[in-house]
Amino acid sequence: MLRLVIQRGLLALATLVLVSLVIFGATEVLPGDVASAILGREATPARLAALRAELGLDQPAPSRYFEWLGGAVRGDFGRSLARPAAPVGPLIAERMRVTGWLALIATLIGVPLALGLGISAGLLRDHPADLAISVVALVAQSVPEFVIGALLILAFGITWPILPAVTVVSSDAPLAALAPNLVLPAATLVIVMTAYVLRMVRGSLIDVLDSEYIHMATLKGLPHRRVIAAHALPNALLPTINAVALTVAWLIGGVVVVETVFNLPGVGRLMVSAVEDRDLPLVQALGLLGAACYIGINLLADLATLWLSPRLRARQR
Amino acid sequence: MRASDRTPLRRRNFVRLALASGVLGIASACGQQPAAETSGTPGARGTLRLAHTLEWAGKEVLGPASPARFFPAIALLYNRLVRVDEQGRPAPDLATSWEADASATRWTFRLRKGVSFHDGKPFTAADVLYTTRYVMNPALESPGAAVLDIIDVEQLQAPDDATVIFTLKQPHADFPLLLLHYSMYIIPSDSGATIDTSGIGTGPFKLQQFNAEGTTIVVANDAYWDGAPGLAAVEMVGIADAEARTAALLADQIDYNDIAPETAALVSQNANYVLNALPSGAWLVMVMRTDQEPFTDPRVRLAMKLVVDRAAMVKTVLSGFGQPAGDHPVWPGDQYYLPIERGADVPRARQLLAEAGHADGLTVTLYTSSIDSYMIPMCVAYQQMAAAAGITVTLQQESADGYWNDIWMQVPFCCSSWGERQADQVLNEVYRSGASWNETFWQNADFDGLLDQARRELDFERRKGLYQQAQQLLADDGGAIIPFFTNDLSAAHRRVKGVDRRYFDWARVTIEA
Repeated sequence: MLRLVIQRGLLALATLVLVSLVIFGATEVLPGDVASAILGREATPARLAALRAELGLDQPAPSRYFEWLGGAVRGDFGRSLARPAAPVGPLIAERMRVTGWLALIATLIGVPLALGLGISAGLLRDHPADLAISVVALVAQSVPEFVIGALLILAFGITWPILPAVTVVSSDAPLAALAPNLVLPAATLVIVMTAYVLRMVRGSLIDVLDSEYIHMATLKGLPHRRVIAAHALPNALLPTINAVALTVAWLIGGVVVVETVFNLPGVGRLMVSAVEDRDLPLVQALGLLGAACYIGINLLADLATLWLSPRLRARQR
Repeated sequence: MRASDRTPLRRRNFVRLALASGVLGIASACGQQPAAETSGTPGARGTLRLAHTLEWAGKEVLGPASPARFFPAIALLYNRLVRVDEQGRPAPDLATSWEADASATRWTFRLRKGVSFHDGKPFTAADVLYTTRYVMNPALESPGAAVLDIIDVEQLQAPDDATVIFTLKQPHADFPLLLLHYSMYIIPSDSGATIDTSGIGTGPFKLQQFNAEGTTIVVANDAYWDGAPGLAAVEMVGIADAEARTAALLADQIDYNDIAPETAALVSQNANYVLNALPSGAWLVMVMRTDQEPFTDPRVRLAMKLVVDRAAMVKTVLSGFGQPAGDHPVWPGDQYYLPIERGADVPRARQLLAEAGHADGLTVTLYTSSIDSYMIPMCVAYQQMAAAAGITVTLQQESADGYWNDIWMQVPFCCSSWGERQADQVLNEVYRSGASWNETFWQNADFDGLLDQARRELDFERRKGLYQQAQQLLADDGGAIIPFFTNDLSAAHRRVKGVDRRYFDWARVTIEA
């Protein structure tokens, strides 16, 4: 088992290095030149030369890559180009606080809700309750989150103004001031993620309930409750771990559309600003962090799956 | 599920539709809702909340001369030597009067006495000298440096605390107009290193909190030399998304905001809000490079201009929020504006094309981009109008990224857009031979001569005549097809008073409790 964990960990690390190469490479092959992209209409040969020197673009690409990667390993992502006084790290940390709270709230409400509804729907297959849950989930999954967001704003921000329509407090505001602004975005995310995870859970449970070992357990005379709790659910929920993991990674990576609709100062909008500003150190740091999040959470999910499923563990050996 | 899986293409339209269909019906509901933050004793000054577009995506600074200046706060925190009046003429601000010598090269400004900066330091001539040198310091890369380059910095003088003498490298009869440039807001001496965050000026409001991406707060400067302001404070919230700004306005989270033309109808039908569509000098242009075929022939250039039905352009492209233009960039609010009524004259255009050897028609490629939201609609309208005269316009859409580098001033025929500039500045900056932004590559010695003559001419009427001759020459011979000037669109809650005209005075804006 330990060997397996180390093996998986090394694989994740290799993936991360590969991603860092891609991120760095992508900024290299930008159309034209980074300096001219930053200067735009104001570009003059003198200013271009000065900016290239400032950005270190006169150095060869490999040495710049290793310098950047070395800094990133030490947690030093350099300084923002657009915000001259700001090191990239704290800038991201402040935004991560908002995104983190949003992700936490959405996960804490969304995951239990999705599991509960999904299991109910799976157990009550073809019952009117299942049909109702499935249809609502399908609709919620088909409607883009910006539409859900706009409708929530219209309902609870404008028509019955009980919550802030968009966020008008700063990202460093105390949690008490920030909290009311998180309600509608969190509700939007809960709706979207619940629909997705719920359908996974339901489908998976129905598959398991149809399998031979469940029929076997039932024929053997086990009580229905025990068949479900001991045999069906653990197996049905295994594939769900990955769906939940992907959803959580998506939430932490910053949900650009929802943050934009609600003007929420999170990581997603920071990424958009960074791209607009051509703030490369910030773009690279956010890209790397986002990738690290995905890889890390997927690694955890894989390990959890392995741990819960003796069959997979055996095959890996 | 993930953002990238869903195309964001229809988001804007959807939100508009949702707001339009839902919001009109509930206008009355909004009106009954008490304004939460503005309660207080009757007659107490209120707080105005506005949104800004985060134009620099977070790199905004408070230094007025910086390229990334935090636009919404500048006019609240600082004053210039001169301000602009309703007729587009310079009026006293921190300077009370000014005069030129007979050669229009030596300008003496008398400064207002008894004015203090927000930190209590008195305002004197030394601050004006410091600000001028600061703006013109090449390291700052201020957009104002090129405009003020006419000032001989070595010769700046302050004979006493209330007098400043500018000596110019060339005569300029309208030098006070140059001091209207947005970089020439006066900052205290030796504040260059701190002004980006301190925001200390002489203006009607003092900085309390600066956070471009969050909320910026300025509070009333009750010692303001022009009388205490009518507002207790102004809060400026950064909201990058246009729909989110509209939602904030309709949810009564902000009181005043610039709006997109698409939401104008929505606001004008809502009894709680007042739509202000104010003519401005911002313009769009289709640029013909006069040094490249087929635009080297002035007859072709004129024919290309004569196909445009400007009134129809204003109606369709701008939804009526603009004014027709006559192929020169001086706007109707400028004191030197030359009205040129230019309707579509297709037979004349055809005749000119035939004379130029294009009797069988002409095919051109027009490069465009979504870099300005009006640009592509303008091009599509132009394509249709030009077809009537046998001109086939092929539209080539380029990405907004790199447009100014790779397309603008490179290809023979492309689009461009400009902000409002006063006559002398725009004619020199964009159309004089050899100017670095001469996008039409037009070289006309007569035109350059008229501009030089106008700058030397101290008599207003004669100067106006010279500038107008220059505009006529440009309209007839130049390479710019300028169909319209756009409007500044803003919406204010009806509680807000004093924002319904151009160049309004922030010190006199009020909001009812």
